[in-house]
Amino acid sequence: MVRSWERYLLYTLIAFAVFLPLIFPFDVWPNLPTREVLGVFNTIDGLQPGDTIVVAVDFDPSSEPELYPMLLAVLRHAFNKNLYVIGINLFGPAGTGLGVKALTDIGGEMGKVDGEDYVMLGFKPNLPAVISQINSDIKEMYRSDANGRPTADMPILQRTPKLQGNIKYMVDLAAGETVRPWVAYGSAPGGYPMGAGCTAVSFADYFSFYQSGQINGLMGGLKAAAEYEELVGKKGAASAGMNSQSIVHALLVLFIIIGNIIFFRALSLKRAEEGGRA
Amino acid sequence: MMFLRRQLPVVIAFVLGMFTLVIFYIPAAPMQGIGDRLKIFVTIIGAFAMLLGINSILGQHITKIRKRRPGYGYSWVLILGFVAMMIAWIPWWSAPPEGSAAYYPWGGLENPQGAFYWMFFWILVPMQATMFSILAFFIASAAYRSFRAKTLEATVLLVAAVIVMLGRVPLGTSMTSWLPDAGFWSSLRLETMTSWLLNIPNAAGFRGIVLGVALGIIATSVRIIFGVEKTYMGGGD
Amino acid sequence: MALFTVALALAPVVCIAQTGEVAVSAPGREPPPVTPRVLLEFEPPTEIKARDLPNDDGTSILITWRRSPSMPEDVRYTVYFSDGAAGPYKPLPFDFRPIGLDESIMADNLQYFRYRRAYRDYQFIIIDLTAFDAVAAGTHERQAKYDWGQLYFKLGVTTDSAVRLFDPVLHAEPVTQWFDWSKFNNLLMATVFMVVILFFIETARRRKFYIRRIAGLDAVDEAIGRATEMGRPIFYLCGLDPMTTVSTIAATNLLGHVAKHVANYESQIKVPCFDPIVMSVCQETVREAYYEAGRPDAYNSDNVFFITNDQFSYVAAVNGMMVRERPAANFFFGFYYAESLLLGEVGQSTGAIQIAGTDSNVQIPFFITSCDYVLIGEELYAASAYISREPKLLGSVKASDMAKAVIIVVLLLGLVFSVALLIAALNDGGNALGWLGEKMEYFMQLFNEHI
Repeated sequence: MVRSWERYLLYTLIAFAVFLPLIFPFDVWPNLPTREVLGVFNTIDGLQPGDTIVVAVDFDPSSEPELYPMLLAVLRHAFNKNLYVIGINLFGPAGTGLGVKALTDIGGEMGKVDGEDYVMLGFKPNLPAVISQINSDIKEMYRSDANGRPTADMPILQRTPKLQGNIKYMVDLAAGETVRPWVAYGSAPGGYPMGAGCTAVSFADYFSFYQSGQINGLMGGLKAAAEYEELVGKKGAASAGMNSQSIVHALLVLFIIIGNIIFFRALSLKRAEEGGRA
Repeated sequence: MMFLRRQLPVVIAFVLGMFTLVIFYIPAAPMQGIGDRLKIFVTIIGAFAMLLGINSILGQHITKIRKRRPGYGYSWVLILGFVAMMIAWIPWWSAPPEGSAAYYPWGGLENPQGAFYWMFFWILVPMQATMFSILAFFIASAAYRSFRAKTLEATVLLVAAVIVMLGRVPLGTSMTSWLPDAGFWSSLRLETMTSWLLNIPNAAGFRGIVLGVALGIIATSVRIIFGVEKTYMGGGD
Repeated sequence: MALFTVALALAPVVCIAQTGEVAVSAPGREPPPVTPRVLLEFEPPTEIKARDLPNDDGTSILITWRRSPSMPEDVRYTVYFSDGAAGPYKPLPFDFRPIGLDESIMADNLQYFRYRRAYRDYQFIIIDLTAFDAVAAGTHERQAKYDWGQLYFKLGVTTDSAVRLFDPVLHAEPVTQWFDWSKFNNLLMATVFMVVILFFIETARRRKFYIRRIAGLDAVDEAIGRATEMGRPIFYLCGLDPMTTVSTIAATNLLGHVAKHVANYESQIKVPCFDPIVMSVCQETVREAYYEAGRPDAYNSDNVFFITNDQFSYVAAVNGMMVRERPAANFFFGFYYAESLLLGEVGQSTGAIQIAGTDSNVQIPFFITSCDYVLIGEELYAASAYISREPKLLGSVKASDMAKAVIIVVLLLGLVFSVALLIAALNDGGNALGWLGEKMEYFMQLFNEHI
């Protein structure tokens, strides 16, 4: 049983461990890229300028802290390489706004033009049907983009009227069960390679897709986002969060050790008491 | 009356359950079409049930306000929030602007200047993110309380937890980064141990649970289809 | 062996291959491009056949062939079509991905061929005929639809710029299937399992089955008793999944039993719901439980209520109620997501006895750290059998155990076979263990087949 003052002490320490590194950023521990993250990075890095990729913003605001920095890092990388980016969201309506914001922010920063260098297609329900359809015709499914502009004469969609045969890579940033349909209805029949990003909790679940080679890269949680930021060479929210996460994890280990010390002290006291009575 | 309450639900469960099972094995288009229709039915019933839900929550809070139970002010907050979100999302009958499906006088989700967008992104979203973030605090108290080396198994769990926690952050990985990249000693690096723990023992345990769950699902479904289990219909046993 | 070779000059030109001609360029394009020697210099594939795609709804055909042993790696297979046997043969009107040497190997597809090592050299392409209609609908041509019966195909090989077509002309009528034979193994196992379940349910009427102790369920009574003593309510949550999932059904089943005990103890139960349908079911279940306990007057429908369909808003509301009302016991049954620890920790801090049961494997650890008892995975499904001691229900639990034993045997066989094959392959390469090895591979394939 945790006494309530203990609980508040723990919470206060955690709050400090989260906030202080965010307020006073520092750069001590290198975040070495893992094989799974390099899978996504190397594929995008190996593409030629003028190639098109699809980035699926399949998450909503509740997983924004983990997946949004990942999205920014991937977009920055793609625009740096002068790739064209098609954004899409098939998870829930709330994700579209995040996709628009990310594309506009990073695109604006890199001097890219909406509709020419990138486009955000909005949300459509019924994932398998939408994926199969855009594999063979995007404009049929999306008459207008997320901002309500007609897609008919949009230069990027003139160049890429459908996914199959036209795009070189697809990254699904998934908060829910969207990787499986993208593999089954998108990447496998369409013949384009695919990578994925997910929250840290789902990493173990999605790892089997990576093991089986159905996706060639997997980014799990904030750590992967930070690794990607480091690979792209522009640290952002994820790298800043990594310091917090490092310290919080260390603090948790410390809590566990202290908890055990208290537990064993209580145990030995109890034993001594019982021994004394006997 | 007894028939309507007792036998008929069991009959419907049996017929539709068997039908859905059978069409799984029939690829012909007409059967798949019926299957798809049944799935749409579920969605439609769900939409109507939402009315029941709204009736339940509003009824509760209106009673609370009427009887002036303690904290009835918060019930006003709930009702006002409910009404405000609803109105902001109502489409209007005027012609929609170019490229969108309907005209939302208060903005809908697509217009960042609209009321709905504002309430959604600046009230709902931060509150949801806050609830989610509270997990960080709860994990601390849960870890502090429950990871005690009481038995051998608990100790193994504890050590594994510490390794994974450290192996997932740069601070931890930099603690063992002086070990060589390849060869025997590399397997003692924290990140290597972490990925081994996650991908071998953890995955094996998960799969065991998943197998048991799958069998349990089949057994429960058979009990329901054959009317052996009726408690969920409020029928007792 | 007559060869038909077509050279594609520049990208979107439709090229036509006529019988007897070796290379035909697109009309209006001078000088005829030279067919790369790479396409002419190897043995053509053999046994090229077309047939109806088995186990489908009658919209696709299957083209199979034995691959050429001498084909270079950068050459890929493709298909040309014509709407008459005589030709001319044109590229498919929709986008079609040519396949390479290494892809779509027959041996992996028990649906199309039985497993033999010799079949490793066979490859296939599936042609979806509805794609022709989709194209015809899009082009607004006068003959809006292709006649499937008049579609003929030829297999070819291609590099980026040229193609070489092979005889014979391929044609097959697609047939609608009324049974998917690729799911036969599934049907067989499902039927056997179902019969076993029904058998044990029958047997259970005559014989008593042993069921191991589930500590979490033994504690249910204790928790209800404690709530009665303290005069505080019990919270019962059915998870966040809709009524269509088995975990939610199991949770409502258990709710029936718990509510009956609560009614007997004259305690109070509150069921905050995430889904309106689940709410209606829970209201009915609790009402019926009170009725059966002989206390219909004590039932209050306001105690089973809907909160919201939004994950974190729901948690916020339930946590708030926990802090305000300080329930003596919390039951978390059903399927949970990230909110598991939020619910568990707040309940823990209010000092409630907590019993959780979920088949969400990711959330089990969080419940274990924050609750007093946890039902893991299928224990949740067995719970209503355990509490009610109803022989029929216990029978089905027993049947699950039997099925589990069978799965363990299959897993062990798979383990033994794969180790044997691995060791043999290290010693004598591709033909490991001869025909026995082939049977072992077939066995593994049978269980590997996913749909």
